[in-house]
Amino acid sequence: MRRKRAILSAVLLALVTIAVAEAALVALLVVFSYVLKIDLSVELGSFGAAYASGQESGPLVKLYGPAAVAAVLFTAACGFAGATWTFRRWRPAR
Amino acid sequence: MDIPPLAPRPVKRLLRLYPRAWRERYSAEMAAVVDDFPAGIGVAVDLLVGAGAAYAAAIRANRVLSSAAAYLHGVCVAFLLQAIAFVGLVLISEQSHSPTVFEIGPIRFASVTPLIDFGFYLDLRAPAVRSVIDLLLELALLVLLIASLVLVLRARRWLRAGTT
Repeated sequence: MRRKRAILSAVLLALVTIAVAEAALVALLVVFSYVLKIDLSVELGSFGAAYASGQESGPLVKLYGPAAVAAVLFTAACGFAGATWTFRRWRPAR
Repeated sequence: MDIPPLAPRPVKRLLRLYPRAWRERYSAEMAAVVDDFPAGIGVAVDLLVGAGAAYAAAIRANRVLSSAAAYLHGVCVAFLLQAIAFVGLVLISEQSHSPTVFEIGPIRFASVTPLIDFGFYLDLRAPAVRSVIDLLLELALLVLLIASLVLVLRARRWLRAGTT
């Protein structure tokens, strides 16, 4: 039971970490859009959000749902690859 | 402007930042060492860096904590790679005058509609100057992000070297 709880906690923590990382990434993209004076639009199915730089003639970058899914999967894959690699290669210090 | 030295007591309080196992073993002798030195910013910084190194050693000594740290490291690397990809996307698409679409088969990931040329510009800068400034800004961001990625990738090795 204790082991199951520990695994569940680890998985939840891993998911929260990915959520925080993705939220931070979106915030960073908005900052970049402001700095580079571009319009940013994110379309996730029926949900959409847009940032306008205020320049009427600025380029428009549109990110679609698959890009968000790919970003989450890529982040999770990098995290789990690093954790698995370290877990398997870990040796106690001599 | 003279920076007043820290009082001995607050400096010694920094020892509480060290891991519990470390404190149980070395706290008394470390407190004596801190008492021998004049309390100052340098000692405080040394203690803070030492606390970081002590935690790094404690994490490295535990298999699960090491794996969790590696997980966070991997997430940071992925974060920076995606930010680099975004700036790269903008940089590449601005070289083209037609809309750029990034897709694999029917799956569309992103599209960039370039600057619309109305024949006049809202600001007073000439078009060539504007594009050079924007390009420099994008390149600067790209260099900054790549430098951050190199720093993050090297950090683990530096930490390992610092704790052994």
